[in-house]
Amino acid sequence: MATAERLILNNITGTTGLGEPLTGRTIHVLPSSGGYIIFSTAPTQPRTLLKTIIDDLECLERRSDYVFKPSKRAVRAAKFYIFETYALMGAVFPRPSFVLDGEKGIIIKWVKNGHTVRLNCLSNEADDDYIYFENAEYDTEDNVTPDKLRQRLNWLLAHE
Amino acid sequence: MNENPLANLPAEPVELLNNEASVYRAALDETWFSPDKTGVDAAAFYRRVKRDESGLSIGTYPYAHRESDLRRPIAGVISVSVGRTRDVRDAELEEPLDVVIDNPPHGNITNVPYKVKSGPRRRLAERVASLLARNAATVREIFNPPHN
Repeated sequence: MATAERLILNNITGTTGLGEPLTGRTIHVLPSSGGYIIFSTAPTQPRTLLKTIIDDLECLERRSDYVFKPSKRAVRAAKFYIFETYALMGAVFPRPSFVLDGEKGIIIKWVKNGHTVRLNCLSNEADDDYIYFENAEYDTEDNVTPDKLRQRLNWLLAHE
Repeated sequence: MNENPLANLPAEPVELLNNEASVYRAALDETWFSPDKTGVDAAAFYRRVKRDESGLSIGTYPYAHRESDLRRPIAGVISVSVGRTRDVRDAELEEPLDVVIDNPPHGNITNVPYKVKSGPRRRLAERVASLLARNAATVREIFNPPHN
């Protein structure tokens, strides 16, 4: 049996000629002199939101032209809050931007409709990270945990 | 006899600017601009302990930073309205903000609270920096790539 025919048959049974599942694959049929060329391709894996956020963060470490670079501790803390809070919130976790505070710390920043949440990941282990948030009012929160950040981001998202 | 011991010290030569004037602050990092490059982040107005003792440095013209000891590349220039700086208000702010020229073309935004590591002063420093960024600052120029 020709490969193309086997592929079609396997398509019916849900596998490629190599026995791989066809789920999510695209079947292409191209005319050729001898009949048709049939092949399947797997979709390109889209970058996840989490991967995009972490890439943005890691870019800050790789830059070479600037006065400011974040400390390893600040980067580690920022990743911790992002991973853990993303795990709690899933796809509703809003994409942040990153700001360097001028003292080797990183601020993870979210802005929505006049509301702001800024998580300050400080450069030294001895200093406590904190959240600053504001709309018409403003305040800070100490003893930051992923759950505390989740609650504050839900406050941000509630004002859409 | 004057009972105030400070009264006999020579006054620092400072020049007051009118409210319509603009001054310029070097943006030391590209993240001090918003991702769409149309706004300025509060981090541009953090007053750092031991570094910004006289206030936040500004210049009277956009490239005044070239006359300072700033040698590293910068990300751009922020324009700051003097009048809007003086308009920054908060119930916890003890002295109103001002803009004074101490060594032309260098000057300072004065009375900005220090961004300390903890406590109510930190909260106020965040608030004042945020108000300055939103109400008084605009993007003047972005350097791509960064340069001095």
